[in-house]
Amino acid sequence: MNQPYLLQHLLEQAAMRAPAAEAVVDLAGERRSFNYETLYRTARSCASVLQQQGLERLDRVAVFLPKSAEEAAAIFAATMAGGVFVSVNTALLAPQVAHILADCGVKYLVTSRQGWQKICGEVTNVRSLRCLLLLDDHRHEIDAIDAVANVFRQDGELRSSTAIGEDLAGILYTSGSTGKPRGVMLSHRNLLAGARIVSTYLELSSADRLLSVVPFSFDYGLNQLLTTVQYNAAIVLLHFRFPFEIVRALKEESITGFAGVPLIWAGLIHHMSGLRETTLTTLRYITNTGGCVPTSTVRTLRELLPNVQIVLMYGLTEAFRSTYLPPAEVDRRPNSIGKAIPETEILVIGPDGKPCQPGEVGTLVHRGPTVSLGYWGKPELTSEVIRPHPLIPLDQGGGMVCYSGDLVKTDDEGFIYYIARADGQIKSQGYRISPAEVEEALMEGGELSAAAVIGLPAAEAGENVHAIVVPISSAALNADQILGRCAVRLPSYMVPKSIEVVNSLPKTPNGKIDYKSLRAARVRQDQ
Amino acid sequence: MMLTIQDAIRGYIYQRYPAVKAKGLSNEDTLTGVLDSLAVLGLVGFIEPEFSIQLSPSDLTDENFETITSIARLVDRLKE
Repeated sequence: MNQPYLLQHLLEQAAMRAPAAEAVVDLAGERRSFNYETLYRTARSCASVLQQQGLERLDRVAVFLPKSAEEAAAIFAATMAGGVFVSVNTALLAPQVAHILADCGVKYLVTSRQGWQKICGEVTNVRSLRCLLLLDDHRHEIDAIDAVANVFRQDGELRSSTAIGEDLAGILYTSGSTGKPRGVMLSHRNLLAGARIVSTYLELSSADRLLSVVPFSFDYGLNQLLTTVQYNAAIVLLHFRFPFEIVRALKEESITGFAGVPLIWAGLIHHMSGLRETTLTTLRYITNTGGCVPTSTVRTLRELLPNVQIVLMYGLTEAFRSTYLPPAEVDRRPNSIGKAIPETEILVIGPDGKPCQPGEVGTLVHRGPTVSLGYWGKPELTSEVIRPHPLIPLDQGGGMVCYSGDLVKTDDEGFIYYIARADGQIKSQGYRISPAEVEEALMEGGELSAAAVIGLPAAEAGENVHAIVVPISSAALNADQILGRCAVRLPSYMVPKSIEVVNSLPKTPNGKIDYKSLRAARVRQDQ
Repeated sequence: MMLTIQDAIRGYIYQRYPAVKAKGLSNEDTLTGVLDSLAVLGLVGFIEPEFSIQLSPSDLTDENFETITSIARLVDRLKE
């Protein structure tokens, strides 16, 4: 078989190599199992509908489905048809979904009747949207827009894509420190390199069975799917509410590898998870995504699962993964994010643009094949993050690198330690949150003259969203009412956990809100 | 008037989650999507000492934690 260079090649080749091998186990509702032949046919069906509906090369196809075999198939289908997938988290509410669809000009939306009901109020106004592709059969209830039903059960023709590896394959939305979420553009080569690199250091094989609870709209959630397919391994999709359900799935599905955000790790070590009462004989490794795991959690998990490798990782969507800590090091330095992943170089660059010495704090800069193509439609923001190599000029082959905006330092042996964000971006429960987006929702009711949103350290969530607000009038302010409105407008992870009313906000010399001092004052108070 | 189990649970949720308080939560409102998994574990940490009961992992089901009333029923059952 030829070397794969497009996303869909992974699935096409897996279906040829081992059509009967189990590919996806879907635990939502009745347990469903898809082998590679079926998964491929499911994706091909959706791809043929996209082409029948007039999809042109690089047209954007949004996928708004709960974690399911069909969601996995739709991601492959978008690129099989010649388009670009836009994976949208179902935790988002209608306003955020509408923003994403409008921002990158989505033409096709793959969703379910239930998904459409949740977002149609706002999404019907997205002018680029041309056609709905529905999982189920409720076309007749939708009259605002063209809709095709049962898109995963068709048997149409499919022309092969003319894309090359450098083409855009997918867009994942994430937040910065300002403005609304931006779409990180990933090429086929980015995605294949990510799959290749991660499967190298996790030593994946066709015998692996990965448990997937992280959304496919997260870079690492998506990577779990791609590495699975690359190796003809199996991926088990779980929606869970209680940690106990994860432990049960780990055992009953003979899981070998698991990835979770730090909050999920906290759930696993909770005495109600059942982990202490369960013997896991197949589990080989556990890895993290979406933030650093507290050292105490790492140590407890090591005690509970002495034979399981703990692989601590660090990454950001703009460059996918940057570092990992080899499991043999985890007892010695559980607070380190490790060293560069394979095929990749990590630099720590100080404010003067020069490399930092061990112990000096600087920005983590990533160079390698997973550096993304930047943000869709945002050249200025892209040029802040995707920049020429700081030490080797472009005309001497330096190429482009990714400035993470994360402050780190190294020890004498070159292991890297995460310190903090360089900007006001908040990271909570594995999500990146822009303070500006929460502030906008706080201000909407018109009872505030100013609002500032910061992240306060929280052991399990990473940070908790904290709002500091200034009312327009001195009359009693109903803070609960403001939060209640946010809860309707924003997904739950963005709603402030606490709110504080003040008379004024501190300003920097150039008149902006002084987030640093707001945060410093409150972090001190906490301790 | 004695505080019912339902009121005590609601009081805990309101205190911890002002956004839930603002929207209001009746005994029969679904808690799915209101309390995430960690919030439920926090709630378990509250009800165990509050009502002198002990839960086991298998008590953590969607059915038992669907509404305030279903949690109260679980508490009643474990108190016996």
